[in-house]
Amino acid sequence: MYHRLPSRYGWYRVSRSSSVGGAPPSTQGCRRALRWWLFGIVTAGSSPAGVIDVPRETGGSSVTAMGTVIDHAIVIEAPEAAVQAYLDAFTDREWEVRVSSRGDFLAQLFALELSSATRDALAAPALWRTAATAEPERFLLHPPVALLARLTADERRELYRLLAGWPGNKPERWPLVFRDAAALRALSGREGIPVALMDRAAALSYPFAGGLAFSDFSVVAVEFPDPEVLFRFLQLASRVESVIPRLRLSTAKSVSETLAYWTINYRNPFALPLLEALAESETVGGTELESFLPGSIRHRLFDLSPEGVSHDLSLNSFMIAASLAAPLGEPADPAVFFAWFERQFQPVSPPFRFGDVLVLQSEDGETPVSYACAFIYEDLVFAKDPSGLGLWRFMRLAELRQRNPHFARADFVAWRRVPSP
Amino acid sequence: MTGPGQSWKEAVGGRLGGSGLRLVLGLMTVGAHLRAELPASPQPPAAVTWDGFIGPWGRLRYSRVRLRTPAPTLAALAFPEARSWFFAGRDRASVDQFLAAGPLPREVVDRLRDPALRGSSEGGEGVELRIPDALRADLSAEARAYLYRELARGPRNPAQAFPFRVPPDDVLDRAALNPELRAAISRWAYPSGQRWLISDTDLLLPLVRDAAELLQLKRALCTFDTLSIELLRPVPADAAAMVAYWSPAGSPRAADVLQWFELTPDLASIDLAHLLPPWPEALLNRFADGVTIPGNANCFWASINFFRGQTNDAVLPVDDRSDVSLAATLTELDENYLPVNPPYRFGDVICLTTVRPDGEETLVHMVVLVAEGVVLTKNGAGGMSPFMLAPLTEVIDHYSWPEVVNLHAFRPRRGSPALPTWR
Repeated sequence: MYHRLPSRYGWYRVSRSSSVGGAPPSTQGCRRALRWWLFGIVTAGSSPAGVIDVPRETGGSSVTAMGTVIDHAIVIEAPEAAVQAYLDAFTDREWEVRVSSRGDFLAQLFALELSSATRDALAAPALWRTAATAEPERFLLHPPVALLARLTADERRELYRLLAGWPGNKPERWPLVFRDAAALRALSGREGIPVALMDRAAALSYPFAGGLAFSDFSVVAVEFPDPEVLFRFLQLASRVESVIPRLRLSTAKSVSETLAYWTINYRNPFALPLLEALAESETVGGTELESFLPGSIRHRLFDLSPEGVSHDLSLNSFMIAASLAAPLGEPADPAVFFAWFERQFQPVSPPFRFGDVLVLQSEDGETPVSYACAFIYEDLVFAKDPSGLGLWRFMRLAELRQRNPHFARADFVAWRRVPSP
Repeated sequence: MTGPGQSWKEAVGGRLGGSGLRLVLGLMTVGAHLRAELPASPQPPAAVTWDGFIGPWGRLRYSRVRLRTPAPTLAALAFPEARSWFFAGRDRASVDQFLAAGPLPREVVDRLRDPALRGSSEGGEGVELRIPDALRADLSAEARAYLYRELARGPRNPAQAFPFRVPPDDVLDRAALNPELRAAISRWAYPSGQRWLISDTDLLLPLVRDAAELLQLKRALCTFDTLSIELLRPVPADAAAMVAYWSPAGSPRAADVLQWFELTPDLASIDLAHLLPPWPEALLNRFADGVTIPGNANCFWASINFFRGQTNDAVLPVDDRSDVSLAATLTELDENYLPVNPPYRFGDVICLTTVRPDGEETLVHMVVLVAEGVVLTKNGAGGMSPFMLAPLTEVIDHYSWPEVVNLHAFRPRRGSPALPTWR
């Protein structure tokens, strides 16, 4: 059985086991995708070998053999320092373009549905400079606000998808996401933000399955230059309804199997004493799932460091997701990390389990971003919200898929830590 | 309590009484993966839960949770030999006088005075008695408490110096020990404050039927009562006071948590862990495993690093030498903390000290106040005891053996490494 792995560098064929019954898929495609990502190249999707197809949960509780997970709704906003960092970092717009020449970029623009005026404006030599002598194929481009302001929604979608393939373009890769224009408007009055600003943000967004994607904060920052208003706007843009999952073990059918599940077959022994205690005498209402995460990632829940705001979140999403199942040392560079990841993890077929790393891969091979999250339970994941001021939080996969326009047509392939010999 | 303006050294004399430092059990790390099979419990009983009083911390809901030392760690635990009693600093006449003055029956005193029990190490430092198992087994709880308190003060009686706490009945029930063993635990226990202790664990070993039962016995004896705490929905008027209480260094975390309540009308409570700094949050209800937490972590290390971004590992014991850890801790207190009087607040370090027979005051334990008399504590070094939340009264009870403990409170200096000002 073969699946094609398209990429902008050609088509690849990846053999996949045709056996059934849980045989793991070939690792070749997944490893190749990871390696490409290392070099800042758009990842290629593999077959949806481990695609998760689980019912969407919208709250309440789900009871299984491993206990009951109860979702408690919570509304959160990004910390003020992170909001300020976003405001500081993305008020001025700069695009990273990794091409051999300006002409190469223009060729790529011709493949997009852009107006000739837009294409011509983007090609203006005055906007371009090389990033550094040592990086002759990396250019920086300063788009004029007027140009950005007049893009149509379709042009935005096309152009920003192209730009999202280069890691330096965070607003395009991980745009702010609004549910819809009406929701924006409804909030504006209550939060003291001019309706005109909300309307403008909606107009500068482009629709996708999850709502409105908004990359053009830099335009709004010029048109509404009051820093307090902009701060409040960003804070509001980061507001999201999330969940605090609580685990109750009273419904578990087998205590030992339950303990094995939540400790990843006892590879996370730190969680065992508390799990054992709760299995014997449960707290009213259950215990927050956060309590069973490794200490190194526990404090990230609902948080975002100011330093992390301006960095691309791809590598971070992989590292944190992987560290749920395997302790990581100091942050590594991408090459070191993915070499480690490929040694420690391998793709697996469903059913998935706590600690698996879910890697985003598109069925058509055209997703411009790399991303991963940690599988928790059923369709619950611990994930960095893949939108502009993304906080680490628990999410349902159905929601996660709708938090980034580049996740369309993409699915998740699970990687599991290889058992020690 | 320590007075304002006093330095730590002034407060406790600046002495480094390493021998008096009570760091329970040694370095033990988690070795293998535990594969414990617990009895199926389809409907576990609910934990005991109660609400606290409203204070600047808000209102907290407490639930009792019992943590047990991981089985791999317990595999390395050996019950200390308790046949030899060493009466430090006493001569034969003094020992006889001590025995006669206590609540011991005349017959027991006579048996203890038997010259045949005298050990070989007599000579200046103290008197050693070698006690037959039958004699030890016959002691009453009252006699045991009297004798063992004295023995615990000396340096050569680890079984008496570091006794095990006899767990509550429900813990023993769950351990499903054989009736003879269960009865022996009760028979050889002795009281100390609100607790029952047992030192003669070596006498239990012949009653243990197999390795599985030995593990269950160890797990029962290494059970720790901790608290799971939730912050209940605060009253809006309390918000400013709560932010001030939970954010002594200006961290925005408390304000964020309060905002969650404000934005989520249905949110009834949140785990207290969200209000702790990253490091104690990561440690909570965990045992030192030598991988993610230093295997020789002790109470000093847990307390000194409460607010720190980068841990100060200089306070860890070196080669099991607790005096090194103590010296580094006293230096840290001197440099980065100030003595304080009540009212205490979040993040204050509370030192438990005892006065030894020679008059020297020695630091024996250190905790960090969280709220409402609840502290973050690690009752003993290494992997045998967890980092946990517990009422200070229970910690004091734990450390009031064999001596009464004194308390001294210190507050980290704002802007120092102990309490970095939030950017």
